[in-house]
Amino acid sequence: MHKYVIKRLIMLIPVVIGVSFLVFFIMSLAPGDTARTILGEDAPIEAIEALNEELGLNDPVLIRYGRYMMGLAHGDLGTSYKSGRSVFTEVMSRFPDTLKLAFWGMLFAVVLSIPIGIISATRQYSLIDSVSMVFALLGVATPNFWLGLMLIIGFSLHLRWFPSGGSEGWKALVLPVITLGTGCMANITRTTRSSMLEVIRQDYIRTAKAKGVNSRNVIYKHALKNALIPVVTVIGLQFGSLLGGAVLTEAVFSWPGVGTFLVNSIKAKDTPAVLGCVIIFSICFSIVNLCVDILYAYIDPRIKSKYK
Amino acid sequence: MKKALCTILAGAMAVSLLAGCGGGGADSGKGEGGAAGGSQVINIGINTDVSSLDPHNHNDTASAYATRHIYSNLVRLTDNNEFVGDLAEKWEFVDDVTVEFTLKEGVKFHDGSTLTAEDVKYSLESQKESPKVGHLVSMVDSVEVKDDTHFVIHMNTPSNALISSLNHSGCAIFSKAHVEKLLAEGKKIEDEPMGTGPYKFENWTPGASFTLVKNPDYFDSQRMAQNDKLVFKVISEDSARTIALENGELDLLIDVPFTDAGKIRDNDKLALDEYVSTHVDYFTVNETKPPFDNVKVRQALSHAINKEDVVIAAINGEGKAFDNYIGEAAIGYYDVVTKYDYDVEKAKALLEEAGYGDGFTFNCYVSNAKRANSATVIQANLAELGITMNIEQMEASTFYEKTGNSEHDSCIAGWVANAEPDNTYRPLFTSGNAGAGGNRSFYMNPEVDKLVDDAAVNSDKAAVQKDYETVLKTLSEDAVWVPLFAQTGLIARNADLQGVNPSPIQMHDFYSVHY
Repeated sequence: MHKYVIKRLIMLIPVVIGVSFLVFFIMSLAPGDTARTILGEDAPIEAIEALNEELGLNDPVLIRYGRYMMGLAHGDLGTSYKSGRSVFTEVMSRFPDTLKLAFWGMLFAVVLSIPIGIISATRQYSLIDSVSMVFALLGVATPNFWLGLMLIIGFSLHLRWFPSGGSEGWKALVLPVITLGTGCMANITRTTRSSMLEVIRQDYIRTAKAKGVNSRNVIYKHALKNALIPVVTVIGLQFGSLLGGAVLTEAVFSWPGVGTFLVNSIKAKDTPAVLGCVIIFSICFSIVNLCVDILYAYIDPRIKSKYK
Repeated sequence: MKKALCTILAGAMAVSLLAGCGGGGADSGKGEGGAAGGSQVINIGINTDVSSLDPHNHNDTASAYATRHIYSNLVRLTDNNEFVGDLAEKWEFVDDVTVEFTLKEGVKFHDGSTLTAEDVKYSLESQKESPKVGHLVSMVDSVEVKDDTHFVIHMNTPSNALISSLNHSGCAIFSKAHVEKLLAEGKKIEDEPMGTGPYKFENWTPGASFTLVKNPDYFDSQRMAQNDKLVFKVISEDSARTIALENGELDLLIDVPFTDAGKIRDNDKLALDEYVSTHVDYFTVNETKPPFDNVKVRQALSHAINKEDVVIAAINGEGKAFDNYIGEAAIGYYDVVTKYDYDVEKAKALLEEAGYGDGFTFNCYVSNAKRANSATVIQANLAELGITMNIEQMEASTFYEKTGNSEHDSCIAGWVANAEPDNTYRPLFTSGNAGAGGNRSFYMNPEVDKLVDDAAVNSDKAAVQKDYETVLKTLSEDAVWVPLFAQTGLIARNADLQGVNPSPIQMHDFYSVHY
């Protein structure tokens, strides 16, 4: 198991190299003059040239990439073209807020969706199943920004229960968490339901029932544990992508997360900032995936035996 | 194994939770303001974040909201477009390239130290090294300190732009001792911004907000802050920004979405202040490409476009159709241009005369939704003349590059004039700036170049005015642009809030705002 974890962590190195290579070259292929974008429409041409020179943007792409990778090898994510601050500091000053939103959003989704998924599966075609599946469908189909604005109009403008934006205090967390959680919840509910439906038709469940195990134990001890693998996968993938920032939710609620920073950096053609964000996301994503794989072993002992 | 795993997972969750609780606690600024008195905190909504708190490291409006309040400049611009001393008591041109300045006595930095001419010398000379705002003082050759309150600026060339540049947020005056101390500690200016301005820096949460607190020892009692704290909140989403004003989370909103202006006017608890801004949007063609090299074609386009419709489509009617090349409130504006009425018949006749009676096809580049709306109206107007205009919308950075490289046939752009007319006329209309320099019309007229050059250095104000009037007449006769509209500046606020004093060039001060 330890060997497996170490091997997976070492695999992060080629992932980071591959990701940085792709992003760097895509950014350099995109049209647009970085200095002009940063200095704006009214900056004189001498200022544009001076800034491009200072940022080293007049050098060939390969030299710039080499310089970047040298820095990266020393643990330096570079300096943002736009702000002149260290990219690591920039991303890390926003990451706690992104983590906070992702964590509570997922918790909200998981706590509600797994029980609903189980109930829907065990009472297939009942009223509660139909209602929850309609809601799951609506949840998947509702755009985040629309739901966010509706919640703001309802709970912030009219009822004044929660602030419309910002990240101060628990009250500011409620509406973005509901907005973000709803989409994830819908996915998890549907996955839980279909996975449970598959499992409860298995022979060992029938055997358990035949042996007289009470139905509660059958569902929670025998069926759920076996049905959890795909559910955990979905949760892991969604959590991983949420760590990359939920751009629309962040924009609607003025949440100062990494997603907005990334989008603004792309608009500004701020290559070091974009690269820094993407590298940190890819590391986070890989680690979440690793955690999911470790969890598999915990949930299913058969998988654990394969790691040895 | 199971236990170990449980511990790891529980640990990971705890870390997540702690990280979650730890973020965002840095900023305060709850709306304690209000008519009740006591501590007055003014919450101001803006749509973009500060890029830097170092005046030498930015050239954008949002960052200037912060640095203009923390730092002071040698001169400032009054509401009547006059330059008066801010830190400077007075100044005098000894000759074309030498200016003697006297500083006000006893001006204190936020740390209690006294401003001296050495601080000015240090600030202006280090500004020259900045790629972002160094160009503003490119005419400054050296700063010679006479004593604590007297210094001389030697210029390398005569320039009328010196005084207006000194009013720019990039020409803020630092404390030499403070900056040197920061640099020695390996810190940056923006880590601890400190100046002589009406507010002291309190904190900045990137992406969320920044807070300034009143400086009770500010040197100019006439402009002493009338509130205790300014909290600028970054809300990028338009509807969310208006809602935050409606539900009282904001007291003041600078970047009012045009589509919400009506809603704000109808709300008794809110007020909408309109001001004449120097923002002009224009449609222009690339004169290096036929048929746009023909002045008759350009004049035909000027007659063919219904600007009133453009005003409705692009900015929801929050502005007026415009014929000039520089905003009404700007220094350097003169009402001397040839006006082209909306007259389809005249346009057709001009096209016939030019030999394009059957029309032609061309592209129009735009960089945002507002300008795409303008383009749609123009497209429909030109279709009446048999002209096909294909609209291509792209990211701003792509737009700058493509129009700079002359890839466009036509484009729609905008301009906000600042306090120095040369900063408008030179980039937009001179040959040396054709393309990436800002002259996206690729208009090259040696006569205009000469007039702009003369106006930049001539110390005779009447002659400068004559130069600019001739430039404006020439531009309009040559139909270089189709000026579309002058955008009305909008500031929305709580109806009880007083003292809002908008600046036409969008360099608003908020020291006078109070309940």
